[in-house]
Amino acid sequence: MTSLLVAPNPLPLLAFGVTVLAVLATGFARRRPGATARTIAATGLVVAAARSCDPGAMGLGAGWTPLFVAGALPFLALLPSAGEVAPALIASSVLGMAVLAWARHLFALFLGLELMSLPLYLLLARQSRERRTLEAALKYFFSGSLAAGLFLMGMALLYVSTGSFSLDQAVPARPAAQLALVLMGCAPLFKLAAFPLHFWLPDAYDAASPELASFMSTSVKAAGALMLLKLSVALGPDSYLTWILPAVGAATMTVANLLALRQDSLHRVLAYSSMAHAGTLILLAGTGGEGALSATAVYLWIYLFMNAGAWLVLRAGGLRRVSDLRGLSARRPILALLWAVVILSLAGIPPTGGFFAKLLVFLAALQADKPWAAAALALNGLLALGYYARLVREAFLEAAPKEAPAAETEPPRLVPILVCVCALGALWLGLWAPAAVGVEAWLK
Amino acid sequence: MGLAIDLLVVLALVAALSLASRLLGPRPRMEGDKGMPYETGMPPLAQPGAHPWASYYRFAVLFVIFDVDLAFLAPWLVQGGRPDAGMLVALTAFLGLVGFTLAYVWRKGALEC
Repeated sequence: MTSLLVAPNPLPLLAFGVTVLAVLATGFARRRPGATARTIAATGLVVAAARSCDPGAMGLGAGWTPLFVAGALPFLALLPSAGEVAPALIASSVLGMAVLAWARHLFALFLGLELMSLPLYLLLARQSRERRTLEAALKYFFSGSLAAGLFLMGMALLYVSTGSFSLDQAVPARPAAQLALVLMGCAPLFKLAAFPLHFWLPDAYDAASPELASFMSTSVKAAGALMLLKLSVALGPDSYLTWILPAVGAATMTVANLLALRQDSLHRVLAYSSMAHAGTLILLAGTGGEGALSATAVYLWIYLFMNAGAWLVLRAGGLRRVSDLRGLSARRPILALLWAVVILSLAGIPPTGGFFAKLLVFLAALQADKPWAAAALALNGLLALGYYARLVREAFLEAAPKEAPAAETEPPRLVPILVCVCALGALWLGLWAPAAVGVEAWLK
Repeated sequence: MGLAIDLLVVLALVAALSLASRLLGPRPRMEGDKGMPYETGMPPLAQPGAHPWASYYRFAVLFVIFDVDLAFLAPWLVQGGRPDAGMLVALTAFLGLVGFTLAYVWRKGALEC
């Protein structure tokens, strides 16, 4: 019998599991656990991620877990301290991502996918008792189940045509096997909100609190990208996917950027912005090869900082609508400056990390001999500038309204610190990463 | 071809028999106790088609968890040969996990009505 989880060192994975159990165990205490559960969850996840770190190469395995944990930490830190359920849900979602990273067998991949997704539906539904939230959670749940079903069907079809569930095989060029790959690809494409599967995204992000939306758009999208890479790079390097994925990626970017142009809710603008960035990642996964792998890793680390930063500014300022941004530079000049940094980084303006991330994708598309993909990328950069520029202009150039938007509750002290870390991280990665990655080698 | 003829004969038989029973048989009288749905001999508590309580869903989910764990234990019971230490560790860990789950839902009061 083959083992489901073959990895050089399965112990860190065990540490993720023990973390979930330890967090749940705080629920046995007579007193309500308060911050204990949060602390245990954060410590356990950080220790487990540090143990699974593989300096040098991220590969397609355990090296991704620090990225997942880093995306979950702001959400974990900003949870209102009541009960152990929410920290346990976050920890088990991250455990699912870790299983995804370790998986070398399709069943393990499916187990990780479900273990990651099910807590997310619950986390979204627990946000409030409002109709809008429950509707969004239900939509997310049903469409997620559909994606999981498609994955299972693809898995069955692959087994019929190759007789194996291993991820260490190359899928033959027969139509049935290729169709299996495409069906399985639907699951990560759904998680990334690719163009035909994106309908759940605006509602879910609109109903979520900024820190949950930040978790969903960093960690979960990173896990989706990893899964897509496992399917396209490991399983089908010469499959239909290398043609379908760039097309889907380009369509996703274009649709997302067009939809973002006319939004009034900041949550929705950022939701479509994250969809556009996911489109870039999908395009990248389709270009295939080692280059796509390292470029995706760099992209995701930079994206983590700039995207989490943007969501946390919303939390810090209590902002919900685009018009709430007016007069931000007069009210809170430092916050407005950090906002400009993360938004310009998301738009891909040169000194920031976002520019370098976009450049890597552009070069990877050219290297893979897909000039039309590179052209789509460049055009979308221009299109996206339309709404990113509006976000910065509203904050700096528009006059403040008579009455300032009422912040319901004062955000925790931690939020401004996290915003600083994210914005400076996005800026610093833009200056440091080009040298670290060796961009000269890429340019040749 | 033979299969198709078989199928046609079966369908014709079924149609003929059910039609004959309806035409020739006595009319059943469905009033009183005879018309009640059979529910283990008890008088039924609710109309058929009524929605179950929301809390019933919780029991259903918990039941499935502990039902499925038996499906995982079955291979251990029926496999031939002596179990080795690795299997014992795996079995203990699995049962420990299930036991922990039971203790947790018990402590949280999910087993109360």
